[in-house]
Formats: sequence, C-alpha cells, structure tokens
Amino acid sequence: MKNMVDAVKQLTVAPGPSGAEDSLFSVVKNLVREFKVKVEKDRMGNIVVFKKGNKKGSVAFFTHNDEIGLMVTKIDKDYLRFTEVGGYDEKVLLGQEVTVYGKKQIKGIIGAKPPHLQTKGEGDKFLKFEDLYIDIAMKNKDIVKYISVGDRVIIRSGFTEMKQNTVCVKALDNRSCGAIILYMLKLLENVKNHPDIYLVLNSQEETTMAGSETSAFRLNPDVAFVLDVTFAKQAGYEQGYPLDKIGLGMGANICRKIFDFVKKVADENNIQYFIEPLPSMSGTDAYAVQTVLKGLTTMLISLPIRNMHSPVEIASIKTMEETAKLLSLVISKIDVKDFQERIIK
Amino acid sequence: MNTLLKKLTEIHGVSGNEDSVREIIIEEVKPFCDTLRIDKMGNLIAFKKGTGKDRKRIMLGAHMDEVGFMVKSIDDNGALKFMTAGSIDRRVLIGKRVLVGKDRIPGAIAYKAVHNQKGEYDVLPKVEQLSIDIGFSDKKEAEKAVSVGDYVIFDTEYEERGDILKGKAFDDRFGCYAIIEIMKSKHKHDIYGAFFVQEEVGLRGSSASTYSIKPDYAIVLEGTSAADMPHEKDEADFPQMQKGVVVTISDRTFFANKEFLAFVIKTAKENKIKMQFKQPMIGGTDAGMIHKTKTGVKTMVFAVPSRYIHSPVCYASMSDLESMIELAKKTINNIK
Amino acid sequence: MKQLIRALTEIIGPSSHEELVADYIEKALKKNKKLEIKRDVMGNLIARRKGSGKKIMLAAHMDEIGFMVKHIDKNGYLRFAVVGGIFNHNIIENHVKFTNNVEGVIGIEPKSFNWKEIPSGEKMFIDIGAKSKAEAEKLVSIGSLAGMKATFVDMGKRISTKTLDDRIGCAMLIELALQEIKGNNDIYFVFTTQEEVGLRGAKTSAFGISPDFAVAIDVTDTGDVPESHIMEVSLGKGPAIKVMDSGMVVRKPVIDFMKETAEKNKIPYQLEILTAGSTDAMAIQTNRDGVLAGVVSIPTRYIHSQAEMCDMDDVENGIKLIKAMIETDLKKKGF
Repeated sequence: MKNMVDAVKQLTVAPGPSGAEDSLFSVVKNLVREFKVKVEKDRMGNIVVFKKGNKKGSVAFFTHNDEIGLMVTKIDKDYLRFTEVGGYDEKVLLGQEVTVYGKKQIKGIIGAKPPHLQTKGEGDKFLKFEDLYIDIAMKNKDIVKYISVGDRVIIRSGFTEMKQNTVCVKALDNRSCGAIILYMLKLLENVKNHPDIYLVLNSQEETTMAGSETSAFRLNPDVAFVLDVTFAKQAGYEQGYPLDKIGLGMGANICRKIFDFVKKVADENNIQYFIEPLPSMSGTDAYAVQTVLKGLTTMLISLPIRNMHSPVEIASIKTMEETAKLLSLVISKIDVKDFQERIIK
Repeated sequence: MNTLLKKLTEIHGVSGNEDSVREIIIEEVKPFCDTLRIDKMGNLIAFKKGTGKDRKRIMLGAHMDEVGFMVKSIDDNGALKFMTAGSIDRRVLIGKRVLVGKDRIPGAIAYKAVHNQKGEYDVLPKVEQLSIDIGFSDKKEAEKAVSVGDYVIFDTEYEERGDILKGKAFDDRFGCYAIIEIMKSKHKHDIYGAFFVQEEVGLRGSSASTYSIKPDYAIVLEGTSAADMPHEKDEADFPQMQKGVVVTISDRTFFANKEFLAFVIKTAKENKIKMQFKQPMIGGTDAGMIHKTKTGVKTMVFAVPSRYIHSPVCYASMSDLESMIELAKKTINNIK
Repeated sequence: MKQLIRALTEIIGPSSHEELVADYIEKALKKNKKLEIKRDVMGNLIARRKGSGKKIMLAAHMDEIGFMVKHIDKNGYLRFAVVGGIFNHNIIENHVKFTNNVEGVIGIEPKSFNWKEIPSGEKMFIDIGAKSKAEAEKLVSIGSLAGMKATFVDMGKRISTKTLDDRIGCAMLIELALQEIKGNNDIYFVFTTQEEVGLRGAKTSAFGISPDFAVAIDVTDTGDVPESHIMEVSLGKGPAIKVMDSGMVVRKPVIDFMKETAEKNKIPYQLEILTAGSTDAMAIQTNRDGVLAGVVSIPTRYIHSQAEMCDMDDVENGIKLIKAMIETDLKKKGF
C-alpha cells in the first residue's frame, strides 16, 4: 500500500457486487502484505484482517466491501435484460458502459428505444429496468455460450483524481472506509500498545446486512466501530454534511460512552468532525451489529460522499486520512475495560 | 399522589438516552434484588432468586424509552430543526410544549400563524418544516444553550384524579413501574426484571437481554392504545380504559403460545382479575423479538390500556395498572 | 405423491396453528423407525436422520396464509385480520374453513364495493351462516383461525390447489425422509412454523440445530403466463435453483454445488431471480456466524391463491436433486 489514494483505487476498481465480493480478497491481501497481520475470509464472504496487540481485549472496525450492481435476468434474443442488486437510481443507467461477468468478461452498453422512435412525452420520463436492456453487440447463438441468467454486471467507472484532493469513482460506498481502516495499519506499523484489532470488510450490506450480523457474532469484540458513508452537502441537498469533516454518530445505534471517548480524542488532536444525529435507524451495519449476542458497544463513524449510489461518487482523500489518524489514536488510547457491562450489585 | 409514577413518567428518556430513567429504577429495585447489572446496550437487568424448588427462569420485560425528538441543527433564526425518535403521530406536533436537553429548557413546536397559511391551511407540514422555538432569535446565542444531538421530550405534568391518571410516557413507564412492584414481593421462581432500551426504534434492547438471560417464560408489561371513543360501525373490539389488563393474542410481531394463553385466561378467571383482549394482528412489542430468540421462549404480553399513547398527553386507569400487576404475579405463581 | 399433496393441502394450518399439519406429518414419518422426531417451543417439527458427517438442515414450512377473527358483530358476522400475505382480489366471495372445521364465505360490504378498486380487508367479513351473535360465539371466538377451503384439480402432469406454498415442500421432505439416504451426513428434516409472517420458526430451529449447510424447499413465481414480467422460470423446465430474491443473495459455492449436482445427475434445472418475496433460507443464513444456505424452488403459478399450480415433473426432479445433494460427502466439498 503506497498511500491512501492507492488503497482507495485498488479497492474501488475491483468488481464486488453484493453477494459476489470474491475478488476483493486478493486485493486486500495485496494491500496489507507488508504488515504483520493475518487475513482470512469466512463462509459468508466477510474479510477479516487481524493484528495482534499487547493490551487486553479486542476492537473491531466494520465496513462493507460490497457495491451495488446489476444482474442478468433474461437473454432476450440478442439483448440482455437485467435487474438491480442493491438500491439503484434507475436514472443513472441509460447510456452507461458496463462489464458483464459471465464465463468471460464482456463489455456492453445499457440502451433503450432510440429517442426519435419514442411516442410524444416519453422523452420526459426516465426508463426503468423493464424498459432497458444491455447490448453486448453479439448474436444470441454466441451470447448463450458465455452468459447466463444470474450473471453479474457492473457499471464501468474509472478512478479519477479531482480538484481539492478528492477522488471520483464507483463504490466509495463503502470501499473508501475499507481503505481508511486498512490504512490504519500504516499508522500503527510500529505501535503494539493496543488491544487485538479486527479490520473487517463485510459482505452483503447493500442487500441484507447478512455479513455484519454474522461477523459480529463470530468476533464478539469488546468494542465495535462501524464505518459507513453519509450524504455530503451538494446541489439539491443543502442539508448534507461537509466533505472535509468526519461524522461522529449520535443516537440509539451508538453507545454514548464510546462516542464521548472518540469526541475527546478528536478535540485533543484538533481533528475536524461534525455530529451526525441519528435518533432512530442509522441505515447502516451499526443497526445489525449492536444487537448481536448479548449486545455490543457500538460506535458509528460516517464519511460524507457526494452522488451516493451512482458510478460517480466523490469524496475527500484528506478526510479519509484524518479519519484513519483519529481511529489510530483512539485504538492506541482505548482501554476496553471502560466499555464493559456494569455490575451494580 | 403516587410519587414513583410521577418521577418515572416526568423524567426524560427518549430512545438512545434512557440513562435518567435507569437511575430512578436502580434506586427503587436495588433493595429487592440479588444481582443488578447494566449491559453494553444500556439494558438494566435485575435478578431475584425464587424461594421454591424446581425454579423456572421468568423474565419480566418493559422498556424504559419513550418516543421523542433529537435536535438536528440550529437555524439562522435560533430555532431548532429536529428529527423524531420512534413513531409519533405527525398530527399532534404543532403547538405543543417541549423540554430540550438535560437542563430541560422549555420550548414550543412552532409553525407560522394560521393567518399566514393562505392556500396551505389544509396541508399537514412535514417534520422538516417544523422547528422548536426556545426563545432565541440568534443562532450564536442558541448554540450556547443547546447542541446538535440534544434530546427533546413533551413537557407534560403527571396528575391524578381518583382512578384516572394523566401524564406522558405511560408506554412504557407503566411496565417499568409494574416490574418494580412485582420484584418487591417474594416469588416461587427466579425472576429477571429486564428494563430494555430502544424499543420504540425497533425493539432493539430486548433481543440482546433475552440472549443473556435465557428465560423459560417471558412476560412483557406494556402500555397499549385504548380506543374508547364512540365508534359507529360494529367492526371491532377496541381495548377500553377501566375494563382491565389487555392481553395479546397476536400482533404484527408475534403470536402468543396457545397453551400459555389458555393458562393465563384461566388464572385471570380464578382470581377474578378484570381482563380484555387486544385487537389481533395490530401493533408490535418486545415480545416480537423475545419469543424467537435462540430456540424460542414462551411469551405473554400484558398491557395497560391508555388513551393517546405516542402523543403528548395520555389517560389511563390505576385499577387497570393494578390488574396488570396482579395478573403477572398470579401467573408467575401458578407456573409449575 | 399426488395423494400425499392432496391430503396435506386440505389441512387448515394458518401461521401459529400448524399442529394439525404437524400431526399428519409426524404420523407419516413414523414409518421410518430410524428417524428421531421432536417438536420445539415454536412448534417446529424436526426429524433427524443421524449421521457422523456434516449437519444439513432441510426446511419446508407448514404454515399457510389465512384469517384471524378479530370481532363477532351483533348479527353473527365475523370481522377478520389477515395472517400473512393475503391478496385481497382473490378472497372475495370465496369459501374459507376454520381449524375446527367450521366453514364460511368471505363477504364484502355492498356500500364499500366499487368495480374500480380492490377493497381493503376492513370492508370484508366472514359469514358462517350464524343467525345471531350467540350462535356464532358457539362456533368461533376472537383469535380463531381460518384458511382458504381446498379444491384439488388434477390436470395429469399438473395439479392446482391451495397452499402448494409450502405443503409441496413438506410433501417432498416426507418423501425424502422415508427413503434410504446414502452417505453419513447428519440430516435434519425440519417442518417449520410461521414462515408467512416473518420466518420465525426457521430462525429458532436453525439456532437449535446450528447446521453446516441448509436448503429450503419452497415455491417460486414463474414468467410463463401471457404478459409476464421478466422471469426465466417456467412450469415443467425443472426445479429452480435460487440465485437471489428480495431477502437474500445465495452465495456462489452454494449455487455452484447445486448446479454441479444437477448436471452430474442429469437433472433439469432453472435459475431463479425473484424480485418480491423470500424464504426460510434468509433466516437460516444469518444464524450465529453464518450458514451456507440455498433454496430449491418449485415453479408455481398463481401463488397465494386457491388455485396454485405446479408441475409434477418439477416436483420429482426436485426430490432427485435434493437427494443427490444430501448424499454427497460435504466434507469433500468444503462446507
């Protein structure tokens, strides 16, 4: 791993749609090969990087490695019909270039009836899955050799560095957070004075959160940090959060004591943050993780991104670096004894 | 005046912020239990050993949290934008008094005067269009007094008038009160008094507690909707105030075990305890999570019928609350 | 097999009242003396064929969608709440039957009925022919449960009746449980409760068993009637191997194992993507630290109506496929 940009790039360009995240395993192994850690994948596709520490207890950092994607539902003569896996905005689809992962990878375009053949008024409505198809410019007899129902499709989206130290690419939700936690290994390279650390990239958050529930059950950490993305301020969404600050979640899904601890570390080290009020459901893995087994001490950290769930998500590299710094400081100061059950009598 | 009920219902305890409710309960229940602990989510679990042989593990469950709000941002006029915690009927919000934060700063849920609503009078504003006014006209001044993330409750005083009780958060401080009362007496079986967090935002505290307690039986003690108003159409039996404890046959989250239900009905009859049924297949409680934890738990839900739960002010009957406590005690005693 | 399906589908067993179905199944299973049979707190019926190898859980749900009495009016009409995913358009003026054999008709308030839209359940009632409230109260009470009344239509290769969802799965499991299964996998035939209201029986039975591999057997929709939405599943083309539905994405090792088994044994199959609906496998998958779970689906038309239709070849092939899977040494497959 050269730097944060390198980590984000390697993670985001890899194809890993919800339920089929296999390719991420070798990417992660490669990124952490210079560090003294163990990397494993469990039967649900969750990837766990383990760094042993000198202090008692364990802390887990949960992110999810799956991205939203598409799936072939039918081979319709010379075209493919498809549906979503995870929540798409259908408005982004028409005109995208895609890669179909069949017996071999084949490139295609998402198309529909040409505009001059539309009936009046049709041009103002956007097309839904039923009206769209994927064109791989092949004839049916060849298509069936390589593609079948159930094959995955990912929208092609290159990695681009943009102004003000930002990046634009697909799957920043949530590989950006995967990059943050793996980057921590660089900052903690010569640090041993911390509890055992689990850096987890869960599967299936975009569909069922089945990954986080099962990995949290297995690891049963003393403290669980969940990192996910949140909505940054942008045109049409003025109530969004600043791109250059990290979010500390406050609300039911979060244990107040751990929130206070993280806030204190941020204040003491001049790390910029905003408070993300989440009184009910956080809509993240924190929801699933907190109620596992006898309950886990849970904290939610949010990275603001623009254009969520489109192939052109945008986030700030600097904010990611600051977040990794904050969490590394937290992990080297934390004493898990402070976050256990309280016996009163 | 029942001072415990007053304390329990007036204190603030929105989902995610149940600490103050928990402190009161700890004071009350500590002298009567053998062990007492707070788990990682904030659930409070009290254990009282039974006096009999062949003791069963019985969990009494109630949730400490109430529906309320959280401050989302402070706007340029010093007014507070807010989000709801739990499901609140949007129609009850405008023009109500609230208390903000630990210091209970008085405020009001505001909307512009009716004179200025030409053309929009018939539209019910969304929560995003409302704000809480605590008197400031200036953002900087407001920020000195309140913060993003502060919790907000309805400002409602507890009052009694004979058998009728008035207050907020009867759902489910009544359940908490009932567990405290039940734990004051001795029982045959082992009793686990479990006070849950976060029921209103997804029945969350109960599954973790049940996982660690491993009960044989569970009785959830709740506050439920009474609907006593005249209802022209002959199409339903709604729970009514002063007609006794409400027992659940089924709701959207769970079906009561048939044998256990028959057992409870028999117990009520034998002890002449006033009882009525909840409307089937409506609503949900912690029983929904409890009954399917691990390999399953035989679960019951007893509730006090209250008018206007999940709104600023509720009515309920003390005799119904006492019936609920009585039915729970007798059920526990009858279990072999 | 048709006789078994007919007998099973006729039983009334709405979610939470599966006892009559469980009793019938238990009686049928007793023919195999090697099975260890028990019921758990949630009413799940679990039959174990002991083995020293990997634990396999096969699940089919016993419950059906139905109606619960919520009020008896002053003239003896019953108001009801639905249990599970009832579609209002196919219950109006149809026959229903209670678990205690009382029968009735679902009526609709004439004032509330207009030809333009499907009325809600609040505008309906059940008429059991009682002449008064007192007479009705002798027959049913608040909480009484009813299901649709069965008619069985035999079209030769195809059959049509209520509750193929999921008595067809139960019938298939009974067939398998009574056969000699080779290999030494530890096999649990689980007949679950309360699937239609939230996969509740599957959750608790999976926790108790803690399987290494699980297969749910349920019905799925088809895309083979006129003007269907896109779905590449048809009656008669074989059992469907589930790829994805609205509640789960089946993991690749499971799909590959199922495909491989089918191809090796020359069993026809289809691949299923269902956009609305899920099965017990969804609950089993998230048990503890995760379970590799899949679904073998029987293509069925008109799901949740009184006239669900399936193809007997798909059923026979489904049994063959599951048998071949559970006779495979899972240790060698990396499960």
